[in-house]
Amino acid sequence: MTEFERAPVRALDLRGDLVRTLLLLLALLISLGGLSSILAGFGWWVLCAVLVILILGGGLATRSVLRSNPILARIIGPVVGLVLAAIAIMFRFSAGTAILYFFPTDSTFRLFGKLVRDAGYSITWQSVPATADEGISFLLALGTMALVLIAEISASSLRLPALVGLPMAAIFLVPSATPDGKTSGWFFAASAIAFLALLFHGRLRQLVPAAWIAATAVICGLVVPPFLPSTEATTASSTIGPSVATGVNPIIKLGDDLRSREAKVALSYSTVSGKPEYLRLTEISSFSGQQWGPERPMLDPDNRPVDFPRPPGLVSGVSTTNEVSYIQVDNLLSPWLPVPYPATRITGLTGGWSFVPESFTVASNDSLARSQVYTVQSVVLTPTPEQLLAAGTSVPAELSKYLRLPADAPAVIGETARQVTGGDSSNYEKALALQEFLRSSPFVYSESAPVEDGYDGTGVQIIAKFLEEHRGYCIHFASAMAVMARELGIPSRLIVGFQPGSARNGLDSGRKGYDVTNKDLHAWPELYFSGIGWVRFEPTPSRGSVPDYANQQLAGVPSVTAGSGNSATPNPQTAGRNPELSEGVVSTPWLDTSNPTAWITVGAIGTGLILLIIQPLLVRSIRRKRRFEQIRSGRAGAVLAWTEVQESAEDLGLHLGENLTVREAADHLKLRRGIGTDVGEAIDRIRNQVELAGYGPQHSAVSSASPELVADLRVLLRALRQSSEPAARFQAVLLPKSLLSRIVSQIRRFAW
Amino acid sequence: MSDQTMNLEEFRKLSREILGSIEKVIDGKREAVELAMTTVFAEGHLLIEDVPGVGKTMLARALAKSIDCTVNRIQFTPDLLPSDITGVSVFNQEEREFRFKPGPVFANIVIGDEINRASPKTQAALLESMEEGQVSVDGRTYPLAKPFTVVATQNPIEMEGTYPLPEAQRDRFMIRISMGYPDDAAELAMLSSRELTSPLERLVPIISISQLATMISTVRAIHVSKAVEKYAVTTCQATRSDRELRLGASPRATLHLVRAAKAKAALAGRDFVIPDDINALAVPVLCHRLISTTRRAGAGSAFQSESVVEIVNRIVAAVPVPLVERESA
Repeated sequence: MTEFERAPVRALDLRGDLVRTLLLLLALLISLGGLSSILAGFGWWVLCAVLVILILGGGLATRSVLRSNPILARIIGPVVGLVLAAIAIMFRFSAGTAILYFFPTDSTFRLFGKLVRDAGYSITWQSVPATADEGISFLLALGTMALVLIAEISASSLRLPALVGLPMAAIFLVPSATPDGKTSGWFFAASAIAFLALLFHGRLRQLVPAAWIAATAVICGLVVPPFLPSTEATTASSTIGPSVATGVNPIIKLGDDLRSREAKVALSYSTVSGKPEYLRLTEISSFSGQQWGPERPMLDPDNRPVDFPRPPGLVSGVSTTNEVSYIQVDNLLSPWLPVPYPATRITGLTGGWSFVPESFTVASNDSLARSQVYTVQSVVLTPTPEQLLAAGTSVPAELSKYLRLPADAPAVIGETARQVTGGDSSNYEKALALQEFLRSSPFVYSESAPVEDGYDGTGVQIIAKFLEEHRGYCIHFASAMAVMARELGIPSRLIVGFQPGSARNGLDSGRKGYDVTNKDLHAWPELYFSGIGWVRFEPTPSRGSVPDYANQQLAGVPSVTAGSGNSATPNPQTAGRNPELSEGVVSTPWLDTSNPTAWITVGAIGTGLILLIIQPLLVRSIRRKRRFEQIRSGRAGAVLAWTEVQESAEDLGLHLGENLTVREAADHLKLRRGIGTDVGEAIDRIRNQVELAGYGPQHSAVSSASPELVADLRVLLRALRQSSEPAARFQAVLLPKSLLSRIVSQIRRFAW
Repeated sequence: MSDQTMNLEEFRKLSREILGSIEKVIDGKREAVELAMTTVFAEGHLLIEDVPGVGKTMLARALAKSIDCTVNRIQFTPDLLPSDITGVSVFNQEEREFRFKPGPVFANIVIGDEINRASPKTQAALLESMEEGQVSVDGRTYPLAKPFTVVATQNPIEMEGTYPLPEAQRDRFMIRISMGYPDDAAELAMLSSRELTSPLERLVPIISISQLATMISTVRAIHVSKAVEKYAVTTCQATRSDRELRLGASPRATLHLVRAAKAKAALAGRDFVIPDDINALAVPVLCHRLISTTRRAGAGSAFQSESVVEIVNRIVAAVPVPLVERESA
């Protein structure tokens, strides 16, 4: 037995190599397929597949051409793959700016920079599943290239197929990090099988590390995501201090913000008139689908928010007052800007902001509302009930978009709407009736009830359920009114923004100031009236304020007493600040419902993190345990014990170099501070056994003294630990160096 | 020569006794003494190189005297002839034929004092018999005694009228040792012990010639694993490619290294060689065969070889010891 001879680098077994490459290809293609949960279509997968095939095929071809020199082949293989993939990416994305499709020019780099920026916008604005546009495809191609190269180097160059699990896990983590993106269990299972096949094709010995990688991947990919906060919250938590994040679809977070325990100030504002105002973020006009959300606005850079057009639908005759608002955004992570309606001019913004002409919402592709300080000039519309009544039932044809109902709208919504508005003839009267219907008994404001009963969110099915249960919060009230209005032929849209907030003590530059928190996030409907335009209603009981023209005291009597405007002023103490007070009486306090979720979230993330952190520890201690077991059972002898001694010493920062003989190393250990004579004797006994097993004649190599050996080994390892600094011991436990150097020695052996 | 081997415990006991016996004469030079014994048990030849008066000849004689075997001493002088060593054929008048009269080389232990004072021709006569274990005179071959060990001493200081051994000849010696000066205590002890009689006179043989033969075959049976063999080869090969060495170790050096290591293992009571044995013997076995590139002058002298010792130590420290790693085999 030439057990000490370095295993010669075997000539490559081409057949095995082919099988391994095919298995790797399969595993990677399946895991890339897992991205289908966040990317729409099929084209992106084909692109990735081409890259995978190029890289793996390049490596395989290189190894078969250079089979006489396997070491060189292993080094050059990934390089060939890299070059092929780079050529493909250049060919696909350089759009003719590269010389001969490959050598990049200045404009190629500019183009790539633009693609990366586009991808950034695209990722920000698109909801799941996203379209893989040019930018996203480019990023995807680069990422695929990097991960596949890692996989190729691991599997074919280093012959450590277990490491392929890492890039595969990375691919699976992408959907997990995306809101609503869940890795499909089928893809996961399929690629896990492919991975295991790859491992079985390799050596069984690698199953243990592989099992750990797989376990981590399972935890990260399947268990953690449901508990992970959505991307918006992740962004928020990465900034310093509390922040309010809306993301691109504020509705997703709205309920959570309302239920959240702490109020985080999103912005503060003051107005010249001193009156509070609603601040709009975004508009939702399409009521189809499960998850309503704002469309990605087509932002025209010409629509600078310095000069707004006349609000849609507003003709002369409606009395307006000018208002100036000074808005200071604190920590609102939102691509939408909080703005009162209808604004005429916004000054003081930094970054590229544009308004959307139809909705008058203001958004940016490259900036967030955070830290913006700006002044908004707007008008306050005060249509009289007579004017609204006069609008009758006529609707301009171009507003048909705002009348569209999803095909699957349950009949109960329309029936309820018609029943409620039975005798009313004008749109205004119908709207008042709807608002009154929703604001009165048996409807009750509840932030928790929809969650408990499983109808939290948006969508026409949810509205039907809400009409049955009578409990919900602003989203439910607002969307119910909007959809019912459309059923009755009144154009409507859903607005997400902030209710006026609470008045701040004292004056701000002589003006009354208001603080708006995440708990002031709100949704309300806007209805369109001919000649007046879009008009806000407030169907949510105990939230916000009902505008004068829609005041319920006067329902059915369309005349408003002059000066009653004050009654419409929100009472911040009851309406704005503590909506849950009125709520707590009728249903469970929100604390009880949010607590378990929070704890589960924290627990799941914590468990995942801990598992990740202790993974080296687990691998190391399993190895140690296995060795002890082998020694005790007599399957392995002193040589394995010595390996354990060497690795333990290395973990503790004591490198017993390969130039030391066993005897020298043992003497080295004996010289350590705190090693007593009894330990010294144990070391000597181990050393003698190791020498006998390693260098002795074959017949004496079988060790009979395994129990003593195990005991001596334990004594030595304990003494080694005790003789080390606490920091070294800590590192030995959490980050054992011997694991790292095993990988390094594999690399070195391969490079030798 | 017997193929009988003996128990290693007994081997160790006997060797301890020989060591004790020699140490009665040579104080505080255990390392040199052990190396000398190693040479004898490994069937090698020993070269003792040092300044006059440190006990080179004393060591050789004490070693010879502790073993009950034939010992001859040759004082090398410039006028010594090859036949003074090998012996001559003398014409016997009565029987009317030539009869071979064996020279001093026909003994188990031959002490060659100041070997560098003889002419190269005479040196060659001894060295050839050392390697071949036989002597050819007038076309007839006479086998030498077995076991056969030459212990040569050499004085590196006196250069006038001497013929330093060329590298090829030095290569035939398994081990080269330097005595070095004794330390204070040893020198004091020597003064008192030599007052009246020479302690050499009081030495009695510890082992018989047959016991020596058994001990030698015991050494031969010591196990050398492939890993250790490879380690010895790697070490010797490293001297051949070292930049600071003009002449590296010969394959014979590798052979000597492993054989000496076996003897060393046996002396330690071990029935297998470990890399530490190789390490410990690298300097005594290799250094006298190597020539460094840096200092040409005085090549071959003990003092020149200081730098060679450093180089060998560096090489030994750099050669990876075969890793004890059975699980990946």
